[in-house]
Amino acid sequence: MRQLLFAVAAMLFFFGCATVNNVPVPPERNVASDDQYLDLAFNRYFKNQNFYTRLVRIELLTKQLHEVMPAKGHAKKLLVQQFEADVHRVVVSLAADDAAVESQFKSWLPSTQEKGFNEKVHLLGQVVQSSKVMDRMGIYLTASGVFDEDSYGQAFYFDLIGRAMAAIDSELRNMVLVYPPELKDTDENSAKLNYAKGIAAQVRSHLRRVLPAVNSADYKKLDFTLKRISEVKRIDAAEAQRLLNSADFKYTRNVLAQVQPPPSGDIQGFEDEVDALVRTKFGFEMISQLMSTIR
Amino acid sequence: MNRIIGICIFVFASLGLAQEPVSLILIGQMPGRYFQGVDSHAYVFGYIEMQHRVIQKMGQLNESGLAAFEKANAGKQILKLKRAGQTKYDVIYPGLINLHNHTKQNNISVWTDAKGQFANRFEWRDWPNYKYSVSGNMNPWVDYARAVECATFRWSELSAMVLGTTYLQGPSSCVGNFGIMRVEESSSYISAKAAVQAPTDLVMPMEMQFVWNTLGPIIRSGKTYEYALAETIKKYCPTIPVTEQNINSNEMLKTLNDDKKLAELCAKEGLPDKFIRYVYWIHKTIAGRKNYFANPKTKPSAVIAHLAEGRRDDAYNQKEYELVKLVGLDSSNMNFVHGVGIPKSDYPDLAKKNIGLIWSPFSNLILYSQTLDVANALNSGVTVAIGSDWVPTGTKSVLEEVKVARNYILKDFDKENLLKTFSNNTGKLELVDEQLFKMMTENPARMINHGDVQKGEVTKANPSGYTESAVGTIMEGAMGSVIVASYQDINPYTNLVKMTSEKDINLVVIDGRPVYGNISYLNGVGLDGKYEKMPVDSDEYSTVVANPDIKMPVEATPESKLEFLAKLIGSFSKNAFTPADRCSFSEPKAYVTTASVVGDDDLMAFRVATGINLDKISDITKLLAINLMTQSRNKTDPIEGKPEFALKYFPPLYTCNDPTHTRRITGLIKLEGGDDFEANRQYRNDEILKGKLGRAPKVLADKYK
Repeated sequence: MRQLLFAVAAMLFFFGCATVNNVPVPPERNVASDDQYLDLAFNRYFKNQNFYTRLVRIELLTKQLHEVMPAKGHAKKLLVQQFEADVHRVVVSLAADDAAVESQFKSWLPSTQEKGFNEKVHLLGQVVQSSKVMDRMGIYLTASGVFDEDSYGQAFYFDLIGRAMAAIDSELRNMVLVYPPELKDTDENSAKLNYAKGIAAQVRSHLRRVLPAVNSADYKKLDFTLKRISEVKRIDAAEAQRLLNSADFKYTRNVLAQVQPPPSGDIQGFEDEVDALVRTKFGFEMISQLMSTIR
Repeated sequence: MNRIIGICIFVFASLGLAQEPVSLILIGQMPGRYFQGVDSHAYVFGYIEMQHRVIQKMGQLNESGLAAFEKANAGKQILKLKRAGQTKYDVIYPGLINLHNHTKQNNISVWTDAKGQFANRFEWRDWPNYKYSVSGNMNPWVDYARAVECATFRWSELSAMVLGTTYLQGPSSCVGNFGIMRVEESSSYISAKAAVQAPTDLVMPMEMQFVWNTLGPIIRSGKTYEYALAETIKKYCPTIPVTEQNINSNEMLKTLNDDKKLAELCAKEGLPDKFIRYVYWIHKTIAGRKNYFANPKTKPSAVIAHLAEGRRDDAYNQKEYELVKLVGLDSSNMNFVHGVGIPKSDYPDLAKKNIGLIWSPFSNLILYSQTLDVANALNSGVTVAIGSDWVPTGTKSVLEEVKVARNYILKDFDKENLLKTFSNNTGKLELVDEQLFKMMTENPARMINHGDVQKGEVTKANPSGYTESAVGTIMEGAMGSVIVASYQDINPYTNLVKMTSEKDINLVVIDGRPVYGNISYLNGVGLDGKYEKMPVDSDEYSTVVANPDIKMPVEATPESKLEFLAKLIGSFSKNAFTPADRCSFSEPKAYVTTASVVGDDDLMAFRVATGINLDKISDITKLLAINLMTQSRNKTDPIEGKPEFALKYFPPLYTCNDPTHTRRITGLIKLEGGDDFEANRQYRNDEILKGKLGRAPKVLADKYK
């Protein structure tokens, strides 16, 4: 009982004093159980908000997650960056809609009476699909065993975001007529494509770093493949397979699979070397993985 | 179209550039150490003749015999280093060598929160204020385009050059045919040796516990690192055919660098902590260094890496050299930057193994209130060089750093007999200055294994007549990279170490070609008008304000970023950025214009899109100022940026135009009165008493008991 009272007091203290932009902060480890703290943080943060405000808060959580990730060398940072962009896009698109922003309907979805309900549900569906891609690619990276697990603080924010996404997803499952499986599949493919494009842009920007001695012709070949990915507008399974089986794609995959960055004299040398590989070799592996799972 | 424009610009630029002189002869004074039988502390009036990148001839002269000398060398470029109104000739020195810098982040000013309070480098790197001050100002703009990153590297080269550095260590790229020479670039030397390697990190505390805990007991029992690691891999990944003999081979490294193979072939459970991470990320770097040193075909130059940075009494710092010994990288031509935490009992070991130390007192003192036990290091026979580190926690060049070192020696706050050691027990300041001079010239040359001269055949590829040309010295066969400084003191070492600042660097010559200096000197070698006058520092760079309608695109592809940069830079097209020079040089200085951009597709495309020519100092400055002052995270990101940490001014290239930097450098150690060093020590003690420090160092120390 004493422990619980202490835990509640500590939580109140943290929530009262230690938030940034109202975003929850992970507790010191010795405060209560993680699940209890997470429950309280989640409920308190999203309580009594309409769907738009909850989405804005999800965006803030994502930004906070991004901030607690190290500047260099964290494989999941690329994924979080893309998720942040996807959430932001939807937030911006909804921000112009007074009905959404000022709605008194407190839930994860808009009220069915709200104007443009179907379109808004679709937008939320896109965010959920994006989060699923982020999670699956995160698992893919972790399974390699060569990356550190999430830190305590990072896991805290991933968990909060995950809970919010699960809550929205659960509501969407009740809206099969508005958000049918075919649309969900299309959104999932689009999300994968967005991630592939975002990562491809990163790989392009860091190519010279890991291949300083590559000749101009070969460099152009590699850049062409990556640019091609960036320019894909829509994708389906057939298109994805065509891309994966193309000579350019195979060539790029082969070259990037073998890159070793030169030693880094950056102030954070080791992290810089890891970062260079994350943004090129592992980045392209993620693109391959994303393309191979397009339905 | 871009290519046609590029060709046209190249043609015009080439027409504008001087033809390389057949021979360049500099006539001036030199320290006596470069002439046999002459007192080292005397000046010798003489000449050096440079051709095909090296000093081909040198000798003493009499002023009375000058006319005859010039007649005998008619047809060669002869430059008499006596400026108008001066009675004495300027002094020729070897170009200075800086073995410690981080060249991507020298645009920002010295970090004001560094007050000597930290224990090791992992304590401040995790501090949010550091992130806001450095990363928050240098990002995201520095990654907008390769050209922007190039500009930061070029800035570092210029910054070093105006203070007499000719060889600069740092991760620079796209600085070929621009500025000075890069220590890690093999083409910087005439040599058959492999390029110098300079990774920042050799030992990563969060990654080396596997070595300490799992391999350590095996190694300490008398086995090699290779044996220990091979046996451990065999235990957990039994089908990988690794042995002590093949674990560093290219073939085995290919397997160990394959994360899919490791996941497939190694056990899933019961692995030592961070085992897979170590095998994948770290072992290849250890093996890489060992293969570099052991290469039978190519002699190594040297490796430079950070080690034991922080306080001497930091428990973790004291373990880093142990880790190096465990993995077997305590070998000849290894050099450690800082090394402050290496116990002094290990100094004889360093000396015996020909391991050098690179000393950066300013950086050490503003971060940790403590620096290398340099007296004991020298007395044990360790070779020590001076390094400037990066500007956020260091100085701009070894010429600035050495003045801090000098004051540190003279003040000898901790009574370590520094004056006695540096003066060979005589107390003579000129001997102190001679030691410090060596730390900027022949010591670093020796440490990177480029201190020797070997004659060779004259070939088309190498017409110099030498296969090995030393740096950091003046002798026949040495690289023709020298600097010319004003004569201000009767002792040649005191003249440079104490008296010379950027106003006194009158000429910088790289590989026998003048690249920077007084206009009269540049004109004197036929470079009239083929240069850009400096300084170009302007107060207006500090007051630039971005047009809020020009925003970074959400879909940030290289193309959209370039388009954004073009708009951003274009929005300042009406700004004059009039130079506001407070340096008051006796005569203007200038940088000899290069044509490096036309040979680089990215830089050329950038130039065509934005109008910014990275061969021009004014354009480099403009590009950096606009980005640093308007595009940093602190300025643009309402959530992650911290406006209070945004730069308040754009730090000029020249220290004499930067009173803030001047104050920081000169205020650290004062021979009379109170100084920042003493204030910092008190501050550190206060912070310790408040319990605000020590968490991160303790966590590290606990991991390496």
